[in-house]
Amino acid sequence: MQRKYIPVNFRRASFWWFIAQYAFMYLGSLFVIVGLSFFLLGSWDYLPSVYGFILSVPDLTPNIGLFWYFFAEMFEHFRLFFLCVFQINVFFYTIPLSIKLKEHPVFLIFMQLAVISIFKSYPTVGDLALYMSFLPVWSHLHRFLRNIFLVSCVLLACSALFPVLWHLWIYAGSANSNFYYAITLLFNVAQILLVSDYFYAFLRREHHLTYGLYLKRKDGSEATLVLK
Amino acid sequence: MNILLKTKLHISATGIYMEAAHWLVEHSQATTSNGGQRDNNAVNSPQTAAETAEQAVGERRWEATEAEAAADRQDTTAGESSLPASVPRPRDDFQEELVIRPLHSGDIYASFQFRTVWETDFMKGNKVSHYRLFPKSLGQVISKFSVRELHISFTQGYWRTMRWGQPYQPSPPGAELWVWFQDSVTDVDGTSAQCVLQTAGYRQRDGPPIPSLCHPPREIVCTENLTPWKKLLPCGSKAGLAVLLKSEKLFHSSFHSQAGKREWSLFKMFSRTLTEACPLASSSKIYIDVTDNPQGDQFEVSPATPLLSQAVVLGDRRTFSVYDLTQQITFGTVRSLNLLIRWKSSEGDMLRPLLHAERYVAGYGLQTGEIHTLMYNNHPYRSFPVLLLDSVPWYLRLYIHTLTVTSKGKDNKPSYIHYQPSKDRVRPHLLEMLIQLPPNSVTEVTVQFERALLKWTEYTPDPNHGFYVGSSVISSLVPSIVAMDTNSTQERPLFSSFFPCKEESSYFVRVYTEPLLVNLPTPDFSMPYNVICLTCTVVAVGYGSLYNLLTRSFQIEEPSPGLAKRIANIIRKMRGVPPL
Repeated sequence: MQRKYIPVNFRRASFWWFIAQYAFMYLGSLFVIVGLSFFLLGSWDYLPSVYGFILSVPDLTPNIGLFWYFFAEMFEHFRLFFLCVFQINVFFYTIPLSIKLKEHPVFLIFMQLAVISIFKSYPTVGDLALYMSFLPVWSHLHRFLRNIFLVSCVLLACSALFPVLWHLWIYAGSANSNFYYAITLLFNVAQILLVSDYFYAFLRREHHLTYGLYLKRKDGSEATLVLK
Repeated sequence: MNILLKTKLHISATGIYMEAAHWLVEHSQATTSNGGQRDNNAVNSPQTAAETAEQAVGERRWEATEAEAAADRQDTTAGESSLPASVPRPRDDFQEELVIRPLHSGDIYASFQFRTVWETDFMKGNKVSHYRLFPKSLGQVISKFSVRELHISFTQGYWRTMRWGQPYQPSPPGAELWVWFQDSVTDVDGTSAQCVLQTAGYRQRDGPPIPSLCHPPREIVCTENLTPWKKLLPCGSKAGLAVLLKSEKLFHSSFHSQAGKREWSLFKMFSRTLTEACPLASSSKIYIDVTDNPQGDQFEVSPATPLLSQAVVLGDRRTFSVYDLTQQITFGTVRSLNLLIRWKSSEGDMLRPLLHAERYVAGYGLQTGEIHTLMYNNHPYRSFPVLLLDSVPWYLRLYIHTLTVTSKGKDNKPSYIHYQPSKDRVRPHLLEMLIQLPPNSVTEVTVQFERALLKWTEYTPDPNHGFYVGSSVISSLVPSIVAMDTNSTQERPLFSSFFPCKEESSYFVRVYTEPLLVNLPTPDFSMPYNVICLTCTVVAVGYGSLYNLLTRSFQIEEPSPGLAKRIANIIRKMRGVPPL
């Protein structure tokens, strides 16, 4: 089923056949996993315990994500609303990204991984490591990156401060949870900046591939590219 | 069918420990008042001031105490009503007594006991409307919820078993509620106690006969709890022994023993003396434990009394001086009774209790910790099994794989372990183990745990004080001291084969450990708005950047002319002239 380019033409039967194949494969794998888990456990209890747990966020153990402190301080009345808002962030970037990056599936999956690891309910450093290990694939984008120095400094500083402030809060007792929460915020901002910077660089390179590298304005002077 | 209702109030002279109330409701067979299944169940005799009668009454009274200390009372306890067989049995009866026990540390253990016996039929579901001595509120609760047995206790402070000996009625710090329902009850969902006291609802436990235990570890015993309890007594706090339970002295009493002359009196402890017995009571007595004072060399009691009584209490034979408040001569010419106890010597060595337990939390920091439970078996040569029941709240996540039980440094495998895991915000951990304690040893049970971060609404008003973890309950059948040979330094194996201890010479003991106080990590409670704003800002930053990149495309930027030129161009366009 691998193709370089999938034509979206609603009148062609081949398109619907492709859709059917894809849906069958996806749903089939999903049911295989769910069914195997059922046979392993013998009951359906794992569905609310695994998927329900990830979606409803009952446990508030501090981690490097945004959810724990937010829902520790949330008013009970608004909990469901904000839970939906936060969980939607994980999923709703999929369709716009896949429309924009339909010719570049590898970069699409990189972007999707990054978005998931930032906005998921219980992120870990392992999720960060997963998408950051793909960065050398796009080493050719480094000339178009704008904020890489800032991002790397912030990420390094946060990595150093995370264990320090955790120790101060939990063991030394001289800091409180706000310190650790601030570093969490900073860490996530740095991640977002990193991902959007790479996205910008990728799109800019695509533009230069189409229109040339040294662009000139109408009067011949050097042009600047902006997003409009 | 008898319903036996007891209320108990235990006070120690240091004023720290107070057990406010304890109810026991049991159903016994309405047989003749002659004998039961107990060994030393004496024959009923008229309540006269004769020594034998006192002894019999005393024995009956004390065996009732032992009997009620048993956890599952399903068989009969006939002979509870200590009334003579010749007199036709009245429908209900009220007795009160006060047991005073001078402790070796110089403290006084005063135990009030008010007993209301009522013959009526609750089980058949008849509507009972006429209440005389029995409190109506409790009777309605019992009949409405088909309760077979009910224990409620409120306790403040902690009973120091090693210093003061075994309490007559052990109960854990805070509030405790045990309920046994009749078999007709299938759904244990109780709010019945709320109409009587401020206790929380019941919790369902599996296994017949459906007992339920509710155990909030820190229920503050205050005047609001004591006043409705006093209303359950027939005389209230107007006459009889309950007049001593005036709240302000009770809660502010602090008894300090001065160096040298130590003295205690009723007036000193309760700020009032006794003037009369409760008129509705058929018996009203004060017992003073004089077992440790056979020749009168430890302390002196005044006014003197000729009445003596003996009983076996907690496996030990004790002698009591009796003051009968229904007799006018007890009050003397001044028409008031003020008991006085004066200590002569300051020495005193107490027999250590056979079973003793401690519990503490080890570890540092707010993330993990370790609960250690220590159980002491002080018997020199007998080992006995104990049942350890632990109910740990869900926010301490126990790692049961780290559970270890060691005795004398070696691993001691429990013969029975039952563990029910917790569910967040639904139920706590339940751990039950049957451990054999070797003689003269310390057994240590350790389990590690992790602390959870709660939602900010789930914290108590003072979150940095910590959270209380209820006491663990250790129940056991302990070999009796009476049966213990005093020549314990001799070679035991030879002697024990010639003089084996009988099995019934053991008594049931329930020991409660201290409640634990654990700190949980707390969020900052002043910050909900700030946290919501900041987190939503970060999410919006992410959304904004990605939205920009997804919806916009690159264009060459044409520099825009200065402001003056732009205004000039607008005017020129209006005039129809080509722009600059």
